[in-house]
Parts: sequence; C-alpha cells; structure tokens
Amino acid sequence: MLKKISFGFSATLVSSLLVPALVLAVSCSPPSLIPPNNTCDISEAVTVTATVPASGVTFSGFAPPASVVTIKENDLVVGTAVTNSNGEFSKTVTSNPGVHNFTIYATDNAGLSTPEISISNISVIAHTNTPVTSIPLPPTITVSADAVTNGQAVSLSGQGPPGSYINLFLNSTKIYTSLISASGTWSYSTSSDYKLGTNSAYATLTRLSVEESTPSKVVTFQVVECDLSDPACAPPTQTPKEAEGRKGFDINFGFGVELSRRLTFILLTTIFTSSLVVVLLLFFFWKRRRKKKTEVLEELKVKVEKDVDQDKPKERIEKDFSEAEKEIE
Amino acid sequence: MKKILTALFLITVFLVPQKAFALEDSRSFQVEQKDFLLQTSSGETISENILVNVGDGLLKIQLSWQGYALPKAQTLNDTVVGEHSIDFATPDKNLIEIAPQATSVAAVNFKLPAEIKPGDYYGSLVLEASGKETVNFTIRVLGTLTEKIALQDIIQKGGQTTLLVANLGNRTTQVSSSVKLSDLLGDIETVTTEPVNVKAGQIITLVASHKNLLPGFYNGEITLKYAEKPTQTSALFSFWVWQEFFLFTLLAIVLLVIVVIFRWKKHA
Repeated sequence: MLKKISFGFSATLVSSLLVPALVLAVSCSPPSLIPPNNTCDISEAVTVTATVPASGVTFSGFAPPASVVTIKENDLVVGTAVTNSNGEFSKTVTSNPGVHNFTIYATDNAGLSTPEISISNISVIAHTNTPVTSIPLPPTITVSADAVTNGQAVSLSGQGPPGSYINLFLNSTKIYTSLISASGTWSYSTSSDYKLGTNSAYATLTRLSVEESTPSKVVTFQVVECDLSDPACAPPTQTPKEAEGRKGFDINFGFGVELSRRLTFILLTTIFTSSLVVVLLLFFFWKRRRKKKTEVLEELKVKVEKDVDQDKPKERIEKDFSEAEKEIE
Repeated sequence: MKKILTALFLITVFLVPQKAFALEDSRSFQVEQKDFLLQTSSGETISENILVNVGDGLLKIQLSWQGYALPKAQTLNDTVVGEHSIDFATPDKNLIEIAPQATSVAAVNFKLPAEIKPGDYYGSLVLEASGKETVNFTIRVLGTLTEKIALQDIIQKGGQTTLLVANLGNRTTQVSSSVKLSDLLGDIETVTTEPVNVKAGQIITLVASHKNLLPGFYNGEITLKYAEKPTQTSALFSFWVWQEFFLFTLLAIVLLVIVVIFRWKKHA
C-alpha cells in the first residue's frame, strides 16, 4: 500500500512522529533548497512517501522435495508453494488483521498426500508479517499390496524431506527409524513384523531441533495364512455393504459390480416390458373374441327370428344353433 | 394392433431411464486445488501452483486462462464485470504432458498492475484433455473494500418469493435473506435462505418458498443480511395469493344479490 502525505513542516520532525513500520522517503522540493544542515526550510512543502507493509503470515517448513504445499483457510486455497530439493518451503500469505485458522498439507510428486494439519489461532497484526516457522509436515506413505500371505514381504514406502528421520509404526509399534535419502524417499520391507489379519501402519518425522511431526495417513494391509494364488484362499474383504456404505447388496455376475448392475437393470426392464406386452396382447385378444362372440350371437338371434318367422322346423333351428356354437368355439 | 405396439414402444422408451446407460465420466485427470482466494497488493507478483493427477494413459493437457465472465442473466453491468476480470495472469505453460499415474504441477503467475484498484478480481484456469477441469481464482487487492448489496427485484408467484440480489461492492460478499410474510389475520411466517457468495458485479437469485399459503392478501418484509460486519437492508411488499378465488367469490356474491333483487322485485 502506498500513501502520499504532504506536510508543511520539518522532515526530521515528521519521521520521529510516525510508527516504526513505515519506511520513509523524504524529499525537499526543489532539492537545491536543501540547506547544509540537511533540514528543509519550514516554509517549503515536504512530500513523505510511506510504504506500509501488508499484514500477512509467512509459512515455512519441510515436506518431500518437489511437492506442492497447499495452505487453506475456510476450505479456500490461500497459497501454494513448491518445495526445493531439500524439501524446504516458504510462502507468505497476505491476510487481514485478526485471528486466523489455517490448514496445510503437501502432495508429493507421486501424488501421495499428507494429512491436513491445523495451524490455529494465528494472530495477524496490522502491517506486520507473522512468521510460522519449521512446520514439520508428516511424511507420505503407501503400501505395496493390500493383502499378502503370511511370510510374504510387504513394502511400506513414501517420501519426506531429506535430512529428516522417518519413524515407521506398524500396529502402533515403532519398527523402523532411518534417515530419509537425499532424493526424499524412504522404504521399509518386512516379512515378519506383521500379524495375521488387518495391519495398520503410519509414519512420523523427526528433525534436528524441530518437534516430531504429526502422524502420516494410516495405510492398512491384510495378512492371510494360505497362499493367495489358491482360489480357495480369499483374503478377508469388506462386504459390499460396508464398502459402499449403503443398504442391500451388489449383484456380481463376474463382470464387475457396475456392469452386473446394468445387466440386471436391463434384464428386469425386459421382463417388465415383456410382461406388459403379454398382458396387453391377452387383453386385446380377449376383447376381440368377445366382440366376435357378440357379433355371432347377434347373427344367430337374427337367424332364429327369421327361422321362427318362416315357421321352419325345430330340427333346422337346433342345427343353426349348433353351427353357431361351433363358430363361437 | 399398430396402436398397441406404438403405445408399448412409448411406454418402454419412457420407462427405461436413459441416464443408466450414460457413459462413464471420461475425465482421466483431476486437479487438487480448485478454489483459490489470494490477497495481495497492487504491483505485487504472486505465483500459485496447481497439482494435476493423471489416471491411466499418457495425457496432454491444454491450459488456458479465462477471465471473469457471467451469464447474461447474472451480469449487473458488462463494464463492471470487465473491470473485475483477471487479465494479468499467465500460466507458465500452455501444454503439459503427464505420464500415466503421475502428477505434474502447473503454475500461474499473477503480475498485478501498479495502478490496479482495490477489490476482488476473478478468473479461471481451464485444463482440457478428454475432460475439462476449472480452477477458480479470486484475487483480493487490498485497500478500500466495499460490501454493498442491493435488492434489484422481487418476483412473487404463489408462495414462492424470488429475490434478485446484486453486488454493487468491489468484493465477493456473502448474502442471506429472510422473507417474513404476514396475512390479514396477523399470522407471521418467516423463511430464510442459505448464505450465498455473490461476486462483484453479479446478480443472483434467492428463492424463499412459503408452503401451503391460504388464499388471501399478504404483506411481506425482506431482510438481506450481508458483509463480514453484519449489515442488513430491508424492503416491504404485498401480494395476493389466488386472487381469482376472491374475484369469483365476489362475482358470485354480486350475481346472488342481483338474483335476489330480481326475484324480490318480481315477487313484489
């Protein structure tokens, strides 16, 4: 923000009156009027140009190298930064004076994200930059397989800032501590530290003179007793009800859930439509037959009346009747 | 028979939900950060990064910048909208090529002019490949920021009150409304709407629905609440619900009176 203030008195006096945050540039107009004692003539106008720094917060810390650090406030991104090869980042976000709550997370170059961590109750003072330093973002983590056979190796890996120590926890027990490589990657493989059933793992970071980071995201994997290549050995999986989080069940004809659901829909629609066609056709034929029956009966009535009028023998009338009945049948 | 078949065909067409056969979403990439609100001062330069994740298959993504644009119905004034458009953004590249299952960073640089006025400026980064993603940016240039909301129009239809609300300020403002209706007997019913963000130069529609209004005459009071420091503005209006009902009743009474008078005269 740039403010121009014109004063009609000595420049030395003005500078002592202003707050220290202001950067002052003082000029006498014209410059030739500056007397040897470096003060302007009181009768001359002095222009004071003050640059007032914006209020803001500077976030700095560590994350995996070449990762994107995202700073959010109220679900809106207020700033992003890309970490350097050492995993360091720094970003100044201009903000209004007052108390602010931010969240921050990083996404590494493999697309894995750290959990969002909260940076709460940051007081931003007007025209002052508030530093939030040495933010230790947790490492990223992934697991090589969702399910393994007991004895089979499973690899846990991820990224973090070089020069930090990774602490890996498996089922809440620290099983591995190591210095993160210069490329920012870490990896640990085990075929024995796990237990049968569901295993969960997470990691934290420690760095010299920086407090331990919050835990990374939690990854899980299953360990089963039998050989996974054996079709009879199915790893324990979530039921569709749990996985999808909805009532009922998923039909799977072996084509995958989505395709099977579509096929089921098509099948049900076809059955419904066919039933409708059959019902309508039956109705149509019934109505047609009924109409014909009425017509034949009408004809018969006319014929009988005619026969009676002509005094035809009873046998002839009965014959006409039986013919009509046959026709109706 | 032909009629039956046609009817069956139509029934089948209407019964089969077409959406069930819609193709899968063809997007094969996604961006992590979709809404930015960046505060800065005139003359500053800021750079922001957008992380792009790609699914299966190599992907070439085209990047382009789109200034502030609103549909005609939402535009208060083309000049105002133009003044709030970010035309000082430059994506660092126009094309990014990403390997399958990989990520890439697209950066956008904003070089704010020294003479730019305080206020909110809007624009979007559009990423296009087989699908399309939009990243929305709001740049707030600090200085004198004004929040000014005006009620442009009130449209009453049955029990539904539609408010046209315009942002005359120079920054995005969150607006909510409450519509208080009172009938002739003095019964009062109030409906409030959820807060909505209105961009500078934008007109939005807020709808307050009053259910099961009986026929009659109503007085309404609209209150708009907005701004970070709670501010409100009010307006009064009145309307009829089912005025036809009253017109017919009046007509019936008049006819009845005429008939009674006529018969009385005849009888006399």
